[in-house]
Amino acid sequence: MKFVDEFRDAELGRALAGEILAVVEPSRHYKIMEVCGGHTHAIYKYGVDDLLPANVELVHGPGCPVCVIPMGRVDDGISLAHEPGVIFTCFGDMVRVPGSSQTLLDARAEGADVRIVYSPLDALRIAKQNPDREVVFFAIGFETTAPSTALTLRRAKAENVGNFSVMCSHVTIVPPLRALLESPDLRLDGFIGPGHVATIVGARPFQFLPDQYGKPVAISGFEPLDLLQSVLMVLRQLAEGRAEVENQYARVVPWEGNLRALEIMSEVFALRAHFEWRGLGFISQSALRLSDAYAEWDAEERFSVPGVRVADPKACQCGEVLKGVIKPWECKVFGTACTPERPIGTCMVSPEGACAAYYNYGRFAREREVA
Amino acid sequence: MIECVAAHGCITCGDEAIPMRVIGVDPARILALCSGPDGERCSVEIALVEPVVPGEVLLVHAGTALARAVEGVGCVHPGTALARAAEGAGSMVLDAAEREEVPI
Repeated sequence: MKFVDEFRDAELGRALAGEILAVVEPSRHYKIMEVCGGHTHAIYKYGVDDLLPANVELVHGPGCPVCVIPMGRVDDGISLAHEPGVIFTCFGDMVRVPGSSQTLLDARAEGADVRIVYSPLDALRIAKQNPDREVVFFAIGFETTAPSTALTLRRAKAENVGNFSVMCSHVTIVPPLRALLESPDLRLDGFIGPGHVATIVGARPFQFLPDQYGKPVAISGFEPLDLLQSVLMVLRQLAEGRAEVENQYARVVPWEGNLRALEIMSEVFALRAHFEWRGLGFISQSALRLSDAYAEWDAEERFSVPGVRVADPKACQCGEVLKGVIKPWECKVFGTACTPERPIGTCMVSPEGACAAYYNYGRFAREREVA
Repeated sequence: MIECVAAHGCITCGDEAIPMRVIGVDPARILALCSGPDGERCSVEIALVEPVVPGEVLLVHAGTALARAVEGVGCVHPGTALARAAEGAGSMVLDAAEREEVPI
């Protein structure tokens, strides 16, 4: 296909790998975190890490929206799905995330009306088609997805769709990054920044990483050469003693972000005081709730939600994986009790989860061989 | 239609953004009928990028256009799905049959 060979030209990849090799100090071990689960997926799908020197380690961050949802929150969603007359809508990966006793798929098998949607707009459409039912949308995702929920709620309000509500579990990316950097058990040299989140928030919010923590950042696209170039940008900064936010994904990411999206989000959402992240615990001002102006469409106001905190299964080490402290294959249940078909932890549910990415692209076998 | 399929991984959960070509616009409802790289069609919320015109390529996530891609000014990386969608971009307008096919 036109441009494809050129873009995925092995020579170009090798040239970038050569530049990376030239810029690293052989005696130094580099740890670079790719924040976004989409990057983790792309790295293992395309084997990007195979082109890196052995002393450049990619650490997988907390940017998989499904993986960070705590078990108690899943239970809350399942409880809503079992409410009489409710049509419970959510994105595809959420239906397989284990709660304390079942998944949303299990709830559907028991008779709950659980439907997968691609967009919150689809959920609103279902509400308009079923005026005698209550339609709840389980909203998850980072700043990439939150604008879609915000615009859907504006439509629901404008069209006075009273049988639609949102269980808002949107999260924001900056607070967990701060939490990770404050963690004593993790030493990072730099970051590959989340390209699609930055499409909305811009590159500016990541300026705290160099300013306050002295860490270089490259906001990255999702193609394999994007990722290689971003790794090179971070390593060059380290070699030159710089710490800046560089925008490798400038073809899509404006420095200021999408101002219209940010304005709409500030109208529809407000920051939660605290929110529990799987493996990271409670993080202040790290998630969104509906603003008072949209309280009428807040499922947690409309229905009784248990809101019980549930501890993660003891065998599951998603927390350590999400913090980049251990590699997925180092988890005790990886590939045995926990597989994509029967996941115990959320990191194995979504293809963007580090465990699923390792498992699906054969890293498990390779890492065991190397070890 | 674009769908979220749990068995293959959810594109929305994966923070994926799909390049889609605008086929027709409904300015009153702030929606556009768009076509993806593989010909799949869906209605797209365009409030964050309007005004848009048929033929433009939008970066779409969860049914919402997050950004506009402009070929030739560094926004479209050669070889990406975005570029493939842009290759097919023309000045198509939405006809009655297409409106029936995917209501927006």
